[in-house]
Formats: sequence, C-alpha cells, structure tokens
Amino acid sequence: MLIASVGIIPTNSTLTQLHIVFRHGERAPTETYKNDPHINVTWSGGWGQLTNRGKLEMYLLGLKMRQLYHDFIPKYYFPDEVKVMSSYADRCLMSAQALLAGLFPPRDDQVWNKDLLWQPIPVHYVPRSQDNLIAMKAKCKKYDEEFADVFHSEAIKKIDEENKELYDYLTKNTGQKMDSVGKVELLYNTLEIERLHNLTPPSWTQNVSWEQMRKLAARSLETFTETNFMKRMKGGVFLSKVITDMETDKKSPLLFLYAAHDLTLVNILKTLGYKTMLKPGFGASLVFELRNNSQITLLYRDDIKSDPERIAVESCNTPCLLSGFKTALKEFLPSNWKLECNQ
Amino acid sequence: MVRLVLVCVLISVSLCDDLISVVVIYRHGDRTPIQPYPRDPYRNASFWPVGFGQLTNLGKQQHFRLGQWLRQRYGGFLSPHYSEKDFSIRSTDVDRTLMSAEANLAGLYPPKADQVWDPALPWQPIPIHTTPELEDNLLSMKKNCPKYNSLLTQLFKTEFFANISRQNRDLYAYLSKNSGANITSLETLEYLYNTLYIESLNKFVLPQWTSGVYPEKMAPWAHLSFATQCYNRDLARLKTGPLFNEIIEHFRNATKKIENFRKFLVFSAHDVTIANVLNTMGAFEYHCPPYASTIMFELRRNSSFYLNVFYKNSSQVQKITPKGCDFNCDFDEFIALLKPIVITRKQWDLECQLSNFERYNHIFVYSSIAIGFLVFTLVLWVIIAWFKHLKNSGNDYTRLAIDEVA
Repeated sequence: MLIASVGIIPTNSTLTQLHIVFRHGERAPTETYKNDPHINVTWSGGWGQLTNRGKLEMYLLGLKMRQLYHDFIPKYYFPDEVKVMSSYADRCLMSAQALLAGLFPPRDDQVWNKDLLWQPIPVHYVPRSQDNLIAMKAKCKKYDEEFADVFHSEAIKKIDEENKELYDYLTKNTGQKMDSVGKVELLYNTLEIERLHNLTPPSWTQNVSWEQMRKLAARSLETFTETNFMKRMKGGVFLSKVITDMETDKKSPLLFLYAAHDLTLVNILKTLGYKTMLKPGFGASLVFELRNNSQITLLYRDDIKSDPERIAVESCNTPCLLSGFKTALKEFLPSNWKLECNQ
Repeated sequence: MVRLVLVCVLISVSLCDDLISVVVIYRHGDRTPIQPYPRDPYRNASFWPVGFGQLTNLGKQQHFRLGQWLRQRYGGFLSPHYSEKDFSIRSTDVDRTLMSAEANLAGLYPPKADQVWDPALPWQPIPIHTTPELEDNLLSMKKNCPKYNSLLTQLFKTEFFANISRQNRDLYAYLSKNSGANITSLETLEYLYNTLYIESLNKFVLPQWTSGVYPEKMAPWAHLSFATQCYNRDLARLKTGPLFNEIIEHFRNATKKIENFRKFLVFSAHDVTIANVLNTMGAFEYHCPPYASTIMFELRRNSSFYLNVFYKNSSQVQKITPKGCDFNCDFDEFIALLKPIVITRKQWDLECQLSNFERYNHIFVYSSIAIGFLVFTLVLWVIIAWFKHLKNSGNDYTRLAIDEVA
C-alpha cells in the first residue's frame, strides 16, 4: 500500500516505457527592461543562454534519472532505444546534451576516448515555426484568436483591475508600460535571474511584493491554456504523442526525452487537469511512467531539487490504466491539429 | 603574435593576410553500412553492434581529432571561448552527422576558464541546429524537387550515360544476381560498393563472388556516381545553389562588417555534400569522399577580399582552385562565377513547387482535351441519334425487336 501512496516512487521492476519532459537549466535573462541597472552586464554565454550552473543542473538531473531508473534505462546508449527531442532554443539543445552526459556516460565498449568520459548522442528538433509539440510555437490561427480573447475576458480584466496599482508602480519604475500579466511575467523572470546571480535588485523592488509578481507570472503561464480548446491545441498534442508511443506494440524506444520550456510543462499539466498555479523552476520535470504496458504514473518535480509530486488525472483512478487515461483525456486529444487550427 | 605566426605556418600559404571568416563543411566519421544487401553474409545486426548507418567509436575519434585540428589551425582566429556570436553549426538531421558534430565540437571547444562547468569533465554542450531531412533545402537536400528529378532523369538519357548503362549491363546483372540487390544504376552500384568497402575496412572476409569486381571494376563507377548529382549547371543550381547562396551571403555580411556576422560557420553533412560542393566549383576529382573529409572556405583580405578553398581528405590539405578563378579567388569574382547556380531557398521552393504545378498543369491540359473530346462525341452522338429518331419516327412498330421474337 505504501508503494501506491503519493510521492513515493514505485519499484522499477515493471517499467516498460518512460517519457521525461523537462525545463532547461538556469539561463541568462532573455530580455531586460528600460531602467534595468544591470542592463550592461555581460552574460558569459550571451542573453537567454544556458549558464554554467544550468549545465551542471542538467548534468545532475541526468545522474538523478540514472539513479532513479537504473534498472530500466539501459546501461549503454543505443539510438533505437532512446529518442531525444528538443525545442529549437539553444538553451534546450544544450540542456539535452548536458543531461545526456549525466545519464549516459560511456561504459566498456562505448568508451571512445579514455580521457573524456562523455559520448555524443543526437538531439533532434524541428524548426520553431513547425513545432507544435515542445516549443508549441507552430502557428494555429483559431488558437491565436482564442488567446487574444482571453485578455478581454472577465477573469483577466478583474486581475488587471486588482493589480492596477502594481502595474502603475512597475510602469513608473521600469520605464516601460507594464499593463498585463504577460509583461509582469517577463519582468519577474529577469529580476529573479539577476537576483540569482547576486546582482542587487534595484531599490524600488523593496516596496513591491515579489510573491505577488510571481503569482501574476504563474497566471500569465496559465493564460495559454485558458479554455479547453486551447488545452487541446497545446498540451493535447504532446499527450497524444505520449499515448501513441505507449500504445505501440514495439518494445523500443524505451526512453523519450524532451528538452522544453516552463510553458511546455504548464501547458501539459493544465491539459491534464492540474489545478494549482505553476511557475516551473529550472530543470523542472514531468515523468510519464508506463508499467506492464498498461499502467500510467505521472510525477512532477517543480525544480531540480523538488521531491516528486504524483499527478492524478481526474476520472482515471489509481492504478490509472492507459485506456482509462486516454478516455479521461479524450476531449483534449486533437484528431487533426491543422484542420482544427483552421489553417 | 606567436599564435598568429604559428597560424601562418600552419596554413602554409605564403600570404597571411587578415582572415575574416571561415566556412567549414565536413562529412561524418566512420559508420556502419546503411543497409546490408540481401545476400550479405554480414547482414545480421549482431555484426554491427552500434546499429546500421550509425557512427562508430572510430568515427567519434576521427571527428574529435578533426575538431582539435581545426582548433590548431584557427586557434589565433577563433576564440577558445565558445560564443554563439562567433560560431554557428548546422547538421543534417541524421544521427551520425549530429553525433559527428558533437564529437568535433568536443575537440574544438574544450571548456576553458569560466566555461568549465564540471572540472571532472573536459566537455561542454554546444547547440547544433538542424531541420528535418525531408524539409531541408539547404544541406541534406532531401526536400522533394520534381524539377531536379526530371533534370537528373534527362541526364541519364544523354548518350554518355546511356552508353555507360549499356556497357555495364553485364556488370549490373552479375552484381544483382550475387548480391540479391537490384543493381541498375551508378547510384545503386555505389550503395553496394560502399557496403563492401565498409566490410573490408572492418576486416570482414568478402564473399568469393566479389573478388572479380571489388574494388577495381566497381570503383570507377562508384566514383563517377558522386559526380552525377551536380553534373551540369542546372542540376547544381537546384542541388547546391541554396548552400552556396548561404555561404556567399555569410561572407558578404563579413565583408560589410554587418554587426552580427559570425566568424565561423560549420556544416556537418555527407559524402555527397562534399562531392557536390567541389563539383559545383568545377573542382571535383572523381572519388568517394572519405570519412571526416573537410572543405574549408577562408575569406581573407589584403587590398580587397578574396577566398581560399582547401580540401582535407586525409591528413593532407590540398588547395582547391574554383574553375575559372585563381587559387586566391577575388571574392567578387567568386560571386560572379557562382552567380548562375546561386539560388535562395525561397526561389528554390518556388521553382520546385512551380515544376510541380507545371506537371499538374500538363495533366490539367491533357484531361481538359480528353474531357472536351468526350463531351463533343457525346453531343454528336445525341444529335445523330435524334436525327435518326426523327427519320424513323414513322415506323416505330416494325422496329421493335421484341415484337418479332414474340
């Protein structure tokens, strides 16, 4: 009974397939703001790039996955057993490579350079404009229309009204118009990363609630899956792929890795019916475990250090079987994405 | 300064003018056969533990060393500190080219100083960009182009190639019979040649039937097959045109000192890529480009901008002189020389789609004629029938066959 309880990882012995989707490691800010006192800081790798700490985090995540699933993940890397996909973004491509360095250090015959215990493993991706799976940036006309409507909805209008004072304060101090949850999200990310790098936040931030900004940032991430249709067009694509791969009779691949973004995780979790607001940290991950080819367990880690949280899918009771999982999510699995996008 | 001198020595070119920008194209390293032939004694997967068409440990080593060699050659030019502002790499979307690129980068950019992220591991992740093969109209050139396909079909109908087909009829039949594969062209011959080559590299004993044909008899045809894809200007335009466009644009930006031009651009690709690029410049000596063979384009400046092209197909680096140019090829001259084959990816898409349209257009024209003819016949038939009906309307009774039977 203990085995089935929340947060405890069941034994590995019956695992048949594993999907791991993770946010990239720590990155430099992707953007700055007009009055940023740190606007001229040079980021070693460049703006938006993975930092050294980010590389290490990903490497450690690889080691951790190896430790957790050592009975299941093959000791040797073979291309037909492991599929690695990434978003187009440099930081994701690099995160995937660093994670693989931790997960698949070469052993025995696979050691090709005894002074370098690393081996090359291919990371595939499709261009941003075509990616509806990981970066989820492929154009979807009908989705874009619904997304635009979200900002005229009562719910968002109410949030904007409630936070008007904060918006005005931020506008005044950042030197640029801050009038939406999306803008607060971008600003919050930059402030948070600068703070992580021991860059003193500007004094005006002392009079503002970081927690309030963080909540708005999390709310901003939620706006992308505000309606059921939006969930279907974003998280649904990913869940369809996972289900299809789990349904296949083939034994391989065993392991699927997806190097992604915070938004990818939020889109998927919201589509799964997860209620709490989320602001996934660097290296946050969602693991889909398939056991005995039939039973699904979902484990979410909010950042690199977090303990796993078992994600329950409504109307798919424990154990949640693949067939039940599919039925529970039926509404969110697109049958013809392009057609439904009205393209 | 010492470094610069060293670089000049390494380059072994009398001139050591300012190096402005470099474009490198290489083939992946040692791999296993893509697909064994039906009667291959080594077709069992157990002979190839890394899988078919995959990079071997030797292949990883070859590229790691090539990366180190590039670091040595361009050490004074390319910062040892990796930055996406200096350096960009693109690969075809194939495991072995992506892995070769990774191994190469491990040799080219071992982390230094503040890029060391794990003191125990002298390696750092570097992003490698790619595009799905069937959509790639820059590097893999596997994106469909009916116009190109029909041009290639036409080439094989020319007297020269038709003669070769005739001449090789017996050889093809012999190879087909013994290998179990359908060998009917230079291309299919080359696939088989390549598999036999890899097997002999791996010290596998080749079947007896190969002794009369491999390598001597097959080699010249395998070599020639690498020349066919860009055999003439029209073919080259649709095969390497977008890549040359990218290279020239890259260098043009460098000459204009446009803010974000990169010093170093790398393409990780295949033997055909190497052959096609050399062939397009009129500098391809028929051969199978070996593993990790590399073309280097170097943009330099003295009073004006000029290009040097090198081909490293073993430990030797040879100078390549584009046909119609000097070895020190004035950049403007190089542009003029390649102008007939350079094409943007947009234009490529348009022409390749247009040819699709033209084809459908033909179908449309033919079917319109056919339908028109059908309608015309039908109308004529109705009119004739109607006239007949008018004519015969007086004696309907007698014409009823059923009455006669009854």
